[in-house]
Amino acid sequence: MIQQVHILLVDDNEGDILLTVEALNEARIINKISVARDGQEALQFLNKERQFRDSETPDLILLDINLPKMDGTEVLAIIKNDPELRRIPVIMLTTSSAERDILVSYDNHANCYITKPVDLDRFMSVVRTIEDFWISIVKLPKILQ
Amino acid sequence: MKSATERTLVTGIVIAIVSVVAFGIVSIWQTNRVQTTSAWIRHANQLVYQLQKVVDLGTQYEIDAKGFLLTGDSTLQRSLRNTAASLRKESTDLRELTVMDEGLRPAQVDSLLATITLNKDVLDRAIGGRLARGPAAATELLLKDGQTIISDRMRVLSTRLDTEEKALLDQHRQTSRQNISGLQGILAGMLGVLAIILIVFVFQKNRMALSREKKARERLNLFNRELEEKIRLATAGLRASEEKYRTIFYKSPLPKWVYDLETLEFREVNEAAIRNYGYSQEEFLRLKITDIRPKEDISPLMDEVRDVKAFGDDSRYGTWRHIKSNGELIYVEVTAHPMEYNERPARMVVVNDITERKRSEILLQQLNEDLLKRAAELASSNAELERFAYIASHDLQEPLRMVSSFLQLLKKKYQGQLDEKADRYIHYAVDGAERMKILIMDLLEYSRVGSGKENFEEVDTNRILEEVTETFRAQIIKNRARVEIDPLPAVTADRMQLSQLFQNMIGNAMKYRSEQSPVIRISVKEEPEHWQFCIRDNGIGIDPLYFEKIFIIFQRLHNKTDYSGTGIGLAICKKIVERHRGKIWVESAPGQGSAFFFTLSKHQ
Repeated sequence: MIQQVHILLVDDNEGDILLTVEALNEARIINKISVARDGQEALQFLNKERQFRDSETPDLILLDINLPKMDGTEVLAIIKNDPELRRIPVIMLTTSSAERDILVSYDNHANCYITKPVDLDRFMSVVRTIEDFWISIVKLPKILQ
Repeated sequence: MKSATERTLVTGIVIAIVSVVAFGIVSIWQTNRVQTTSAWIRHANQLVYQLQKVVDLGTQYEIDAKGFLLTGDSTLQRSLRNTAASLRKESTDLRELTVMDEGLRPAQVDSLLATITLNKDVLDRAIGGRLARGPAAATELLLKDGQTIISDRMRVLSTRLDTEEKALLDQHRQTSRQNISGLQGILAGMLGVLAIILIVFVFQKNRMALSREKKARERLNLFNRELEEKIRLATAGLRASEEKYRTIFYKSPLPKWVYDLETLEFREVNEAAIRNYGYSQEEFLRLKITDIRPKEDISPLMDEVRDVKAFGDDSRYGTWRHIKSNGELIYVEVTAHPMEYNERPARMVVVNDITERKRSEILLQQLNEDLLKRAAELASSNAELERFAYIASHDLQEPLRMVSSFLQLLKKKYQGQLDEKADRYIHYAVDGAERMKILIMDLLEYSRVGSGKENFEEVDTNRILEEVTETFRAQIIKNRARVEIDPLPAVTADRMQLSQLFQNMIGNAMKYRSEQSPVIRISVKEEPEHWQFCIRDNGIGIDPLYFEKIFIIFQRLHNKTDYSGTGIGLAICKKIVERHRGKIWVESAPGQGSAFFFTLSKHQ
C-alpha cells in the first residue's frame, strides 16, 4: 500500500532544500514535497492564502529556525496555537544546536528537534530516519482538507 | 653609718645602766651604814636622856628626903612617894634600855642604879628613924650609913656614865658624819663618773654628729658645686639649644612658620618657606595664612581655626593646598603645633610639599584606572573573542556543510564518470572540507568552555571516573588497558567540564600508548588550598621541549597519519582547569610515559 505523504519543507537555503529533497527522493516512499522559503510563506501556505490558495495541508512539517522575515520558532508558535494546524507534526530541522533554540522549540510544542548533521551521509540517514519514523511508524491524524 | 650610731647609742645606754646599778648598790650599802650609825646615836641620846632622868629623880629624892629630915614637912612625904614611884619606873626603863648593850654599859648602869637604890634606902631609913626617934636619930643614922659618900658615889658614877655616853655619842656622830660624807663622796663620785660618761658620750655623739654634719656639709658643698656646674652647663646648653632650635627652625629644609592664632598673621618664617613660596620675609610678615590659600579652601581653613580655638591645644595634621607668590598651586602636608609667641596663642607650622607625590598618586591612579579599563577591555575582548569563535564556528558550519555535502554528493554520484584527475581533485576538496569541519567543531567546543561559574556544583569525582571509564569500555577491552583509580574526593566543579577533562586525559593516555598495553593510574593528593590530581600512563611520553606547546590550541606534535586529532584536547583541558582556578602541567620523558597533573581549587 503506497501512501502519498505530503511534506512541507520550510527552509531558505537552496542547498539545504536540494539536499533534503534529494534525501527524501531517495526514500522508498514516494512523497509530495512543498517548499516555503520563509516563515511568512510557510504560514500563507498553511492558511491557503494568496498564491497557495490551492495548496494542500501537509502531513508533516520540516521547519528550519533561521528564516527571513519570521523565524522558525515564531512560525511554530503560531502553528501550535492554531486549533487545526497544531495537529500537524512539526520537526525542527536546523543547523542550530543552541540550547536556547532547543528549549524554545519544545516549549512551543515542537514534535521533535533535529540538528542537521554536517556529514552528508549522516544527513541522508537522518532524513531517512525521519521518513521511517514519522511516515511508516507513527500514526498521524487525518487532516481535513 | 647607721649601725655605728646604733652601736654608740647602745654603748651609752649600757654604761648608764651599769652606772645606775653600781650607784644603787653602793648607796644602799652606805645608807645601811648610815642607818646603823643613826640608830646608835638615837640609842645613845635616849640613854643619856634616861640616865639624866634617873639621876635627876635620885637627886630629887635625896633633896626631898633631906628636906623632910630637916623640917619634918609631911607634904614632902607625899612628894617622896611620887618621886620614888617615878624613880622605880625610870630605873626599869633605863635598865631595859641598856640590857641589850654590849660591853660594860649594863654593869655600869646596874652599879649606878644600885647606888641610887642604896642612897634611897639610906635616906628611907633616916626618915624612918626621924619618924620614930626624932631628927637627931635621923642625922645619926645618915652619918652612920655614910649617906654623903653614897651620894657622892652616885654622882660620880652618873657623871662618868654621862661623860662616857656623851663621848660615845660624839664618836657615833663623828662616824655618822663620816659615813654620810662617805656616802656623799661615793655619790659625788658616781655622779662624777656618770657625768663624765655622759659628757664623753655626748661629746662623742656630738663629735660624730659634727663629723656627720661636716661630711654632709662637704657633700652639700660638692653638690652645690656640681649644681653650679650643671647650671652653668645648662645655661650654656640652653643658649646652645636655643641657638640649635633657631637653626633647626630657620635652616630646616622644610618650610616652617609661626602664625598668630587670633590675627592669623605670619610672625616668623624660615628660609625654606621664603625660598619655596617666593615671598621675602617682609612680604611674608605682612601676609595672613589665608592669603596663601586658594579661595575655595578658606572656608574649611576658618572652620579648622575655629575648631583649634575651641578645642585645640593639640597638634594637628592635615593635607592642604597652598599658593606660591607666582600663583603656583601646591599640595602640602601641614603639621601645626600649639605654642605661645610674645605671650599670645600661636601655632608653629611645618609644611611638607607633597605636590610631586600627589602628582604621582594622581598618575598612579590614572594608571590604575587605565589598567582596570585595560583589564575590562581585555575581559570583554576575551568574551568577544569567545563569542566570535562561537559565532564564527557556528555560522561557518552552514556554508561548510554546503561545500562538504555537495562535494560528497558529487563524489557519490559522479565518481568514476569523470577522469582520474577530477576524482583526485574531488578527493582533496572533500578531505579539506572534512578537516575544516573538525576544526570548526573543536573551535566551537573550545569556545563553549566559558568563564562563568553558573554550573558549579558539588561533584563526586569517583562517579565522574566511573562514567568516563564506561565510555571507554570498548577501547579498554580492545587495548587490553588497565585503569587504576584511587579513591577520589568530592569537588566543587562544572560536572560536564570535569567529565570532559578526564575524558580527554584518559583518551590521550589511550591514544598515545606505547608497545605495552596501557596502564593508566589516576591518583589525588590533598593540599591546603586545592586538590592535585595525577593521570599517569606508560605511553610514548613527551619530550620536555614540548611541555608548554601541547596545551596550546591546535598545536600538534605528531602528523595526522600517526595520530588523528586537531590538537584541541589539551587546550580544552587547560581552559577547563583554569576556569576552575587551577593549573595543569605534565612530567614526562620520551618512552617513559607521561604524568599529567592538574589542580582544582577548594574555593570555587
